[in-house]
Amino acid sequence: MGIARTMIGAGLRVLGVAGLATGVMAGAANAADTIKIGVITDKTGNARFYAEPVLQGIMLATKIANANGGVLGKKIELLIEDDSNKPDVSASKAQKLIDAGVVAIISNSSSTATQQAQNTTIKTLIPQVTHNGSDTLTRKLDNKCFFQIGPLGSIQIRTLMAYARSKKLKTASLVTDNSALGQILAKYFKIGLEKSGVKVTVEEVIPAGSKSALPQMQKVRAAKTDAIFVAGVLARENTLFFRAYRQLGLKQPIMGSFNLSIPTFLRTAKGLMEGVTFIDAMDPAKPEAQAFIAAYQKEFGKKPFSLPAYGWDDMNFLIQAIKRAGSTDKAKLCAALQGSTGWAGALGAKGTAYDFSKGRAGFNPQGAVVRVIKNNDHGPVVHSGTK
Amino acid sequence: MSDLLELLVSATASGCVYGLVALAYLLVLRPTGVVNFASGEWAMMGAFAAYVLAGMLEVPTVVAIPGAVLVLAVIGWATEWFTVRPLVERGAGHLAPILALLGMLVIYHQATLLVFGGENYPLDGPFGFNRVELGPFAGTSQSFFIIVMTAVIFVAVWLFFERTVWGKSFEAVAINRRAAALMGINLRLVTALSFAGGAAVAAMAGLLDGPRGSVEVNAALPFAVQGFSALIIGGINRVEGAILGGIILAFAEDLTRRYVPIPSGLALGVTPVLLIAFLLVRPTGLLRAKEAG
Amino acid sequence: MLEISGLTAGYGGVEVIHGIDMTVETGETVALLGPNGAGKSTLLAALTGTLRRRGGKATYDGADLCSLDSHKIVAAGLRLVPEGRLIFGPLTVKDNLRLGALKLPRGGGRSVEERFDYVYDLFPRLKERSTQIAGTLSGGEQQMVAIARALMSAPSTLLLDEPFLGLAPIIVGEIQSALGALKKEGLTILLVEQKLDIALSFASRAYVLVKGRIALAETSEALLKRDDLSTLYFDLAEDA
Repeated sequence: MGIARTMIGAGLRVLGVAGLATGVMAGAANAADTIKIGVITDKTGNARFYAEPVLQGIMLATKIANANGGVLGKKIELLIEDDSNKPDVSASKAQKLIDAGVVAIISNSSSTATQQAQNTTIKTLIPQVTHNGSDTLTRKLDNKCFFQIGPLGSIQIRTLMAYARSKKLKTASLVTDNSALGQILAKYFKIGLEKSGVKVTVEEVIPAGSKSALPQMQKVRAAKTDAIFVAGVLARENTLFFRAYRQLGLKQPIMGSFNLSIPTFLRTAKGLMEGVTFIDAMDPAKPEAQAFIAAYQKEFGKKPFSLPAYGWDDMNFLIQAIKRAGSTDKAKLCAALQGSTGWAGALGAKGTAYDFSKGRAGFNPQGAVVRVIKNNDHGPVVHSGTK
Repeated sequence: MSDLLELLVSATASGCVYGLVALAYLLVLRPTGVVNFASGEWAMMGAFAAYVLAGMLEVPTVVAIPGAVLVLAVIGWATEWFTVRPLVERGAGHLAPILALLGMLVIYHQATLLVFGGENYPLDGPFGFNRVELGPFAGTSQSFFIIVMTAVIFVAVWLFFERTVWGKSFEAVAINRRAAALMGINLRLVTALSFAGGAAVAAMAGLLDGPRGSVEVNAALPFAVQGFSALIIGGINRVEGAILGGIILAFAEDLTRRYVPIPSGLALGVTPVLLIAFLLVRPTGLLRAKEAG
Repeated sequence: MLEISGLTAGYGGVEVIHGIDMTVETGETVALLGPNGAGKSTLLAALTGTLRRRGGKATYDGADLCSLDSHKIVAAGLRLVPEGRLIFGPLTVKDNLRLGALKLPRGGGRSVEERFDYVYDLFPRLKERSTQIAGTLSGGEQQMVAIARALMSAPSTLLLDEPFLGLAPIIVGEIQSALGALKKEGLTILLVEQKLDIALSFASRAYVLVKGRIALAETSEALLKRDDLSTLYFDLAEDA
């Protein structure tokens, strides 16, 4: 999740979130009788491109819960705060939400901001939920009431490597860009590949602002590796990669990070990505995912990508726990969240469910999936799990 | 060998894009003495203008390209009118317009970001990306389109400066503003036209490059750096220098990435190394001014 | 006709010329004399649109010079041959001359070609050197280019700012005879000079400008008759 940089289009962002806002805020009329849930999101900072589609999912889940009579007989009221993806702002917004009487907080900006907000939530042990994928979020602080939804970064890498092993690859090319995240991902890819017995024989970088990736891809072509791994996160440079791949007539399979799941590529590299496989967290064959997809389609008139599903799971995770706790008392809610086992969200491979009884990062390690691009769209799952 | 021939077309097309940005710098720099780092923003905005026209409004390419160029020409004209002219007429120092344009760079950048966000947008090339072979040379139709359009622009600009009295009067302003004024040349008009022309040429760079990767706000800074480097390499005195500098830069980059056995991360250093080398060894660039003796 | 009354101008915070009154009738040749730093070039700059006036008035054939931009003043027929020549060094002689014709009034039987013939007639050397880069010419030839360039737009009045400065005597003679021919044709000329003999032999009247003020205005004839002329000139320069 944290590895996406640019997300859904501007028009969709503005229209979608504004449209939903009326539905959610309507429930805010009698504030005393509502369950207040805080959302710290990024509306103005550099994480907004993925924060806003996720917020759509949060609002959609809220709207549907309220339409079905709410939770414990009360409507859910969202209190949304913008932290511009600034860690210190995130921490003070958390305090602001606690003072406003929220029963839980959903963190929807970067991992860094989410980590900082924990310094506030840990003091009162108010439940905090995020879908950020950083492995360290539950490790740095012993925050008993902090929970993580969605696949961890390490699970994503391990899933892709398991897929690589299943393809019996011997050699691979590794292509990335010169962004910090692209470099880190390439490093993890390389470690993972070599652990899996795949030799990385070519490593290429497409620098930001390049006009073509032809020289790098000629080297990849010359190396004749079994597969090409894409760790780059910059949309423009990845598009140059796909274009050079096609132009040079390459045929090896392309395997990519979660980043390739952002819908941007289906537009900028339209028709160039057929057969590309990438990590995702949503399996369209899973019934819970289908329920989400149907709800989204009804609301927005089009098919969702996986991002709003993260927000959908954030909110539904809280709702099911409040129902089981039968209370919004933070200690009881915290215990109910920790006791969430066997609850299946929209995320995760078919047949997998969340389990928070063993740890506060409850995504099933076998739940991340590898999907394939088909007909210029995110196609079916071709692999799931880390084995 | 076939790799090299394949690379030549693509690298020449990249060099053409650099050369057009360098020309955008040059057109403003010659008559005004102002180094306009907002040239990169102009290129980026030109690509967005083309995206709005062709991608959103679905205007045919033959209209969208001149349309986007015209939009940027107006923006360039307005920039001169509202930011540079008032400073010059109030007798501000030489640095003031450069700083004002840096300020405009931020405004352009943030304004585009505000409207379009950090998202990437697709821009279709008029002829797509089919493989085209021309003798031993092979490349995409977009690469050939870039090369042909750039050649047309450079020939037109060169003819304007070398063969028309209007072009000569721009040159006169570049040589000596006061003397040019005494010829009856309207300095305000020449300055405004230089900005309009610079922005128009930058827009061409942006909208020709757009279909290769995509259109995004972040493209502005690389355009500015690459164009400036090409300008320094080719020299600031002559129109031909801009395209020469652009092509040399692109070849240095692509051939290093392809053939020099260093980690491709290090190949990033080619542009700054060339830039520094030229600034140290030959600060006037490859082509000298036409001053004999 | 050039009419100046009470004209005040300067640079930055410094006022250089203080209330100048001066007239140059159509067809007249007038000299403006004065030592270095008297404000001669400042006055010319104020008349040609490169310097804004502070006060007073300057009109050319009724048009207010102070409200016109340089290019409109050129179009009105008033042209300056500036001190230091300011030719376009990197361009050819021909290009320099062609740029001079940018404001050639349309019609009246005049064409750019006709103007080329005219100035080549006046300065045959330039015809020989027409394709040469102007910056490579000798000082005297460059001055010819500067004058010829101004004549390309067929001006009605020529302002010459120290055209003989630093030139070899032989070239000075050539240029003087060319100016004599222009005078004979009836061109209105204001010659700015430091040297009395050159100025007074050429012009019919003279103004002496000292420290930004007109110290003396006489016909050349009257001035030349004064025995104390040189002393007077230098005294004025030192006193003021």
